Amino acid sequence: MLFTSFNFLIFLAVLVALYAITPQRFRWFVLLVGSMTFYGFAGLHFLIYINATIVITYLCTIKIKHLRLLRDAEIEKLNDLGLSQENLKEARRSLRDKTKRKAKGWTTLCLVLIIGILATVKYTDFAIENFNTILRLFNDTQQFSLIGIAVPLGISFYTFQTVGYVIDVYREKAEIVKNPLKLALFTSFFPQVIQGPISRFENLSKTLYSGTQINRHGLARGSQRILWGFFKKLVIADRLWPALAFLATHPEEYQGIYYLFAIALYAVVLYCDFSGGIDIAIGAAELFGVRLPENFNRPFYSRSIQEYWQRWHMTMYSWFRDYVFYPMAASKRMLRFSKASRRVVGNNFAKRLPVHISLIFVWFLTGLWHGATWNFIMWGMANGIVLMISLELTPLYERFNKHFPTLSNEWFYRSIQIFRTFWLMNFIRSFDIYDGVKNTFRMMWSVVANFSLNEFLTFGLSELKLSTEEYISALAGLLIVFFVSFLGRGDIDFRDRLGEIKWPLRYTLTGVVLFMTLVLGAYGHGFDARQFIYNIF
Amino acid sequence: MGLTRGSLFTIYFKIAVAVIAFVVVFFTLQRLLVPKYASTAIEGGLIREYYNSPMNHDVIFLGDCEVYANFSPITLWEVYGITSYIRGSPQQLIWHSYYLLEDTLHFANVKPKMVVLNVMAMQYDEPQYEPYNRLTIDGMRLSLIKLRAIRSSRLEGEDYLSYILPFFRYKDHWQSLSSEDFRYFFRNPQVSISGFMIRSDTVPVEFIPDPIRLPDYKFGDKATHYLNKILELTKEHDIELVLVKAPVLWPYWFEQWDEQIIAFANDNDLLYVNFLHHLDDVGLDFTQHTFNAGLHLNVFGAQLLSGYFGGIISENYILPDRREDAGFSAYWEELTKQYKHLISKQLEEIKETGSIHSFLIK
Amino acid sequence: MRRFLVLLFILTLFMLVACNDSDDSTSDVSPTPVVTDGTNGNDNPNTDNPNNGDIKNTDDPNIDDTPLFSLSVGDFVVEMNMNVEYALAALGEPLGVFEAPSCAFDGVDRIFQYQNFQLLTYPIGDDDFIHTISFRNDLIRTTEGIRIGSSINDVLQAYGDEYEYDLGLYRFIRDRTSIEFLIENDIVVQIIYGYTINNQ
Repeated sequence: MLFTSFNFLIFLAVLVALYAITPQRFRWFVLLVGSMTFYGFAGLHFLIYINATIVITYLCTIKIKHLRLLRDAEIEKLNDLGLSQENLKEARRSLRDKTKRKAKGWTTLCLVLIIGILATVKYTDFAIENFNTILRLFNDTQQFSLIGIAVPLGISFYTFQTVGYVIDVYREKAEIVKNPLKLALFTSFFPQVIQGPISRFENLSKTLYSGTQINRHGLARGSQRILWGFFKKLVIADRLWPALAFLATHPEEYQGIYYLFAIALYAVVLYCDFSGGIDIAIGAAELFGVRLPENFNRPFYSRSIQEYWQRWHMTMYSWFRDYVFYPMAASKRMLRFSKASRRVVGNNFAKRLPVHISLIFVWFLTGLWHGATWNFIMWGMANGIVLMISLELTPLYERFNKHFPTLSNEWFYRSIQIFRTFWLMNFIRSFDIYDGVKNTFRMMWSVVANFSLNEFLTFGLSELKLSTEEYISALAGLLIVFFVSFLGRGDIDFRDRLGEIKWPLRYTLTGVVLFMTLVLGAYGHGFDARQFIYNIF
Repeated sequence: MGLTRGSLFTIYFKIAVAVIAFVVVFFTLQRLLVPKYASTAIEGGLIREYYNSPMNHDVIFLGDCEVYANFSPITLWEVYGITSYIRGSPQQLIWHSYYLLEDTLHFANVKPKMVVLNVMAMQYDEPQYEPYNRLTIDGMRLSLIKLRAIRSSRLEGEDYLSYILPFFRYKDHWQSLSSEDFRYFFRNPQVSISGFMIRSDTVPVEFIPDPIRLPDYKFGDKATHYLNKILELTKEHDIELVLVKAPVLWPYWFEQWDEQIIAFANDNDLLYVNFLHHLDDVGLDFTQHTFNAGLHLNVFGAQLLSGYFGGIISENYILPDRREDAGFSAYWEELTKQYKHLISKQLEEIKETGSIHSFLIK
Repeated sequence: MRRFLVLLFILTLFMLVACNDSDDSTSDVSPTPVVTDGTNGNDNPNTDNPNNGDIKNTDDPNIDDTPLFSLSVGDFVVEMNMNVEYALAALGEPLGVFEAPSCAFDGVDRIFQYQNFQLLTYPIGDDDFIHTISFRNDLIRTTEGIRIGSSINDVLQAYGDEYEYDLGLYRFIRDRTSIEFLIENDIVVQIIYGYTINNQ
């Protein structure tokens, strides 16, 4: 079920109504039924995968819970044995260590299984393809056929969310869910199962199970957010998509300046599509009083790549940071490696080596997580490398800032930084657009080798499958997005700013956005008068 | 802390204002965006015009362009005093005709005494093309009959919502809005006289190609089913059903199809007239009486055909001659005036410029 | 009462759910829309106005190397989806040209009738492209040597046994081109070359 569909709106309305008439203690169960129903629309057989993840997670975490209960009981018993303080301490530590080791075992098992499911369905064919390539390199004629497993909806997202829960359980940062159905709800909660945001159990659980009554405020705010998501997706992203798809599939004809246009267009389309989907997710959750984390915070105002990744897909970034990067960079093995490498790379660099290696590895994983192709891996690695270089250049930046201390507050300097970051990220995102790594590099090179200015001046954007009116309507939408992001400056929710306006104007503005979405949105048949011509007259 | 009565009232008031404003703006936009059919695809205006007529016709024609281009209700009136209306539209399929008949019987002030069905559409057993579904169904008044018509006609990707609220079908028309969308905001242009579209020009037939044989000539189950439903409905309401095949040279009407219609007519004691076998009797000359080289008759051919057909049905059935009835007379005289005015206007244009520019009645 | 009204409301909403196809993606939707999914942008010749007079409607008919169905008339090869101007230039004036309003395109379909066959075209912009060739008599043969009057065995020998069959019609398909033989009493009575236009 697409978010931007009439069916989804009906589904939401039905769920809200059911939720409203259900007694408070059972409302979370209504959300679970709704979530499983929503997921089932994508394909009933996919329910097997998500429920397998839930069952494995539940059994492993319950086991950990039992181990801890046992440990606590044993510790209690120790108190009655009359041991000396030192021996008591030792005994307790020993018990805790033993439990921790066992818990680690169960955690590892759980992670292997649930990540194994993800890896199997999503990466088997990628592995086979690469293996076949290696065989061909050795002139081996044997080739293995692809299996072609259909990838379940949102498996990357709900798996990672569950992995986060399991690790938090191990770290004793998250409470272990006793009720398997409540765990099922956490994993499958419908607004976020398709494309996030990736939530942490300790945060989500505060509102997910509370059964907050449907109220005017939640309905209003949730609906506003949903409308905003529809606006961004339908008026801008879906409207501009045909031009982007056309450029992406005609790289030979559209190079140079068209490449620059394509990557800028992709930034707009991707942002509006992805953040629009997140808006709908957050708004839908708000209808039920459930708070999801934000995933975007005006990313195109970023002044550096580090800042960009703290504003774009924030929950993914923080997930990789907390569950991969930090554990890896701070691990004993990495520290030992760093020590050993001092002789080769020097003390200073050796200290930073764990960070760099972890960074590259994290971004390799991030690329792989996005998609099972070398393009995505290259995209991830490009991010990692740029971040690494950026880190290495930090002393240089610091020296520069020392010489020009007030410069960073100047608007023109900030503008340059924003412009630079915008285009840097656009170039990195090229790997998302074009088919094949070699093709992508060729397109980048075309900026110098074949700028195509004459073609652009002759044909402009007229042959890119969009009419002038469509460009104008998307542009109008974009201006409104800019205006709203301006309203949201200082990290204030733009709806709060909107709430400060008097209601007639506020309703009018909402109405304008609503009707722009209804009229200018890219959905339905499209209208071409020529289709109706019967050619009799 | 609960809400006070005053604040409750304010909330309800705001909601009411928002809802009313939404409804007004929505339906205003809808009216603006739906095609007016004043210059492009004006056949789209045919179906809706029936409801502006007195809806008291004795004869109802059903079919596609083979009826609305080839039969002249004015001739039937002038020569025989027969009141008729053509409920036809582009590529109107058999199930469309069935539901339009139901619609007519539901809304008519006076039930018709005869239904004339052109059988060309029997060759189609499936919905064909979404825009043509629209040209037929959009003009129908909203009713359960219309919903059933949508259900029978839907192609993949079509939904009820966009028929009930055509805003969702035509919203992209904003990109091609023109002055006619504003000029005809409050009223629709009139495109026909009693469902008949007038063409006074002539393009003689030069060449008709060989038809391509079909592997199977048997009419499909769906088409047959709806033909039977039309028969049942006319019987139920005590209405005479007459089957016709209009005299057009293309698309080709196969003998094997004709045989099936003859058999159906014989089995059910119906009159069936295949005008392709009566070209000489009608007096049709395809160098003079067609405006598109044999695909349709022009108004002069339509007059001949209607004169001949009127004779057949007058002989075989009792149909009232309404010419003495003052109420009917006044109305039909006005129609005849409009009819003759447009014909002479078109002939004037042909004389001056070589082609027709006026297609609308008003 | 409130719950009853809500249930009634829910029931009404269920009735509004469209029951036509949905466009669900069943794949894992990554945050980066997959632009490069292998589709060839030339999949739709109807929206690609073919280079104003180019020989073929811009398309990518050949997925594999099998030659497509085409008709040899003397030295000239009439290919499916060819711009009819090229055929007319090579074959000369037809006996007659007939125009019928196109149901699916902006413009008219045309039938060019020659002594032994007909060419049927569909319009894209100002150009017409061949979508059907129909034999009129037994004086012309297909490239593989079959004519009206040949036997079904001749057909199967020439074209193999991979065909679609329906009510006496044997259809052989190569990518978007096809050739159909209408068989009555084991004899070919009609031969038609076809081309699948994108919106069919």
